[in-house]
Amino acid sequence: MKGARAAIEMLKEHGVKVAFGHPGGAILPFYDELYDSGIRHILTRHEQNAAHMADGFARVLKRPGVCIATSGPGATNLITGIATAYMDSSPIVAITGQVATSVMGNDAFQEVDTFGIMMPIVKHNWRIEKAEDIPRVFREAFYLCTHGRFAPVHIDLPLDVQRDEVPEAALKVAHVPRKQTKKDLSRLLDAIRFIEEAEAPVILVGGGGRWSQAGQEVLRLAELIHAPVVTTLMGKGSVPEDHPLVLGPVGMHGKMVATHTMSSGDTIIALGTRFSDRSTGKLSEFGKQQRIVHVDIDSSEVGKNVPHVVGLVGDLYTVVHALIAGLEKRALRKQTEWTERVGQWKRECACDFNHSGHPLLPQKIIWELNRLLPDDAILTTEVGRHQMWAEHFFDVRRKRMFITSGGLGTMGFGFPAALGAKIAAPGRFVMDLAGDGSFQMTMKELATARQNGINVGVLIMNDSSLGMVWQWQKMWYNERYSGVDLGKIPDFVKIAEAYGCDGVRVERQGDLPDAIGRAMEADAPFVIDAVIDPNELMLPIMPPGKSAKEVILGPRCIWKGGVTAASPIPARA
Amino acid sequence: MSRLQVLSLLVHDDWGVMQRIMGVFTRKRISVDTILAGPCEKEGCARVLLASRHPAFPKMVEHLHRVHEILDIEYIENDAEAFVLLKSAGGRKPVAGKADAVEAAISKEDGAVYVKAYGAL
Repeated sequence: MKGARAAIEMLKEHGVKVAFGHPGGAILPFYDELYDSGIRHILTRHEQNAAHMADGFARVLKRPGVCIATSGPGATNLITGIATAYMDSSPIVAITGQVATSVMGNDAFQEVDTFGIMMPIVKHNWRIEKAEDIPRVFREAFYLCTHGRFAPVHIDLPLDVQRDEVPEAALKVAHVPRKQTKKDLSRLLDAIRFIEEAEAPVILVGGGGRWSQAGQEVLRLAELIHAPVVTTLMGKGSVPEDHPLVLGPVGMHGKMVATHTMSSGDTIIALGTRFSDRSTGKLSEFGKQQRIVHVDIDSSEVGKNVPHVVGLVGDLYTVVHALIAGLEKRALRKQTEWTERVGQWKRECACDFNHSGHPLLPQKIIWELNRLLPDDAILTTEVGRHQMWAEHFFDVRRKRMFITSGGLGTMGFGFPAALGAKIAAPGRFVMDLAGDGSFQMTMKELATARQNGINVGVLIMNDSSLGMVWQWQKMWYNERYSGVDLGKIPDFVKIAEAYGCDGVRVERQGDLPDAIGRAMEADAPFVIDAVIDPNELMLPIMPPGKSAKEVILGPRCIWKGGVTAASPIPARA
Repeated sequence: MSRLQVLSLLVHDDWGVMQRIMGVFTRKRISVDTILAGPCEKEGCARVLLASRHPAFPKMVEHLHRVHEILDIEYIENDAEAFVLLKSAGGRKPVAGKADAVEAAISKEDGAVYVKAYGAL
């Protein structure tokens, strides 16, 4: 059996039904075998988007997505997508072609040191030197990316290795894990004691809650110890946000009730989060008055950003079960005073953001999405202010999913990720909430969507500028708007039509429900170009490098809990 | 002079393993003073010894665990500048410590056979 055939067989062995990629010279033997392999290949218009699609696919199914590119520029184009997945712990198996081993190192055509370039952004990567290693490496790759902390892995396949014969015996070489996932529950009793002694416990859930699918267990723990649940950006959606104990996201653009509750509690139970600076604010101020129990699957995360924690290392699902089992037998006090206080704050934070205005206000768009999207919809976002409005206001209730590039913050992520998500869950409605800047980065994938019949909706919040950067320049750089004006924005409706898709421009809020309804029923990818008020600021904001006490509130914010602060931003009509 | 700290790594001997290890140190902004690598008693494995005086060096154990090829990590702390193994009438006697102290031990056992080592490792 040829090396390329063996690689395909390995993909099939691991249940791969769909792969995203873009062919080229150094991966031709592989593509030749792919032709009649029965694996569905989605041809993307750019390799970066192949990685994003595999990422979106993996985030929905919690199984590895596969992306393929050729050597040289194909491999370097993958980098952004792989790095995005790495930062958000998403499992991807990336396969790249490489020049033949005989010319490797000679600066051959389309040669680049992919093996070296990929190293810092994957969990592990391999450059296969002999065809007989293909089965072992592929089995190890699939094992590795879904055991322990999820992460992308990369396999570099030189041209001659793809052509060489793989001995039959090599196909049977089973993968024996080199080392077991580290698990350390030695401080479980300390953790249980901390939780037991807590008078005001708060549970903070990060992306680990989603990857481990431990939402129900987290809620059980929360109900057991009467603790409110807050999430990070990546953890949004790990617990359904219509549960009374769930307060929503914390962090730079989080909800005031969540941020305030977390800084007012006396014990933080951090589950599957790495304490990103965007979630904690100023790290030296974070958790000063709290005891922190930190649960993470990756032992290097415990104590990395926030020192002096009680660390438990292991899969969230099992660790939370262990905590529940340990706490169930104990006589836990009823936290009535604490839960009542938090309940009061939650009422004080529950604003009506059904704002009317012309031009459209972004909050109104999210309000309509909350109302109209089905309970199993998947919302992906790009990166920018629209992402933060979605984080703050979008209601991830029931089986809804929220997919976003939290760690790397990759503009252009949302649209290809939506396509990957739609392939993973064809029965669910998938919408990409985009900004005009982000969408222009990857809108060429409209062609991929049309060609493969992947009918997703795109809702562009169009403010004709790079809004997030614009806002930072307005607030902290003396309104010197440098490089943020996108000039005359292309007509997105015409672009959609040029690609054979449908589109509609929305300027009045009354037209919004109809447009969203059309997107849900369209039998082609559907683009909604919603013109929003460019002067509306994304508030509240915890300024970078500041703590939870220095949040700048929005002019319409009704938050009165904790320290009441008048907004320094004047309200406009 | 701060203490000399040594990490002894047992690694799977494969392409790029040194690149991965040094990548971790570069990213965490910790410079390594001495690197020593070579084959070891286990087949398919190699041993890498790294030494540094950086205060955050011991914390690297956790971060190095993320490198898939590293099978085992041992942290050794040592403030000895020099080491000598003396063979005198009383048998073999190792002495480790400041260079002066080691020299003093040698002159005290005047005429004994010895092996002496200086330096970072």
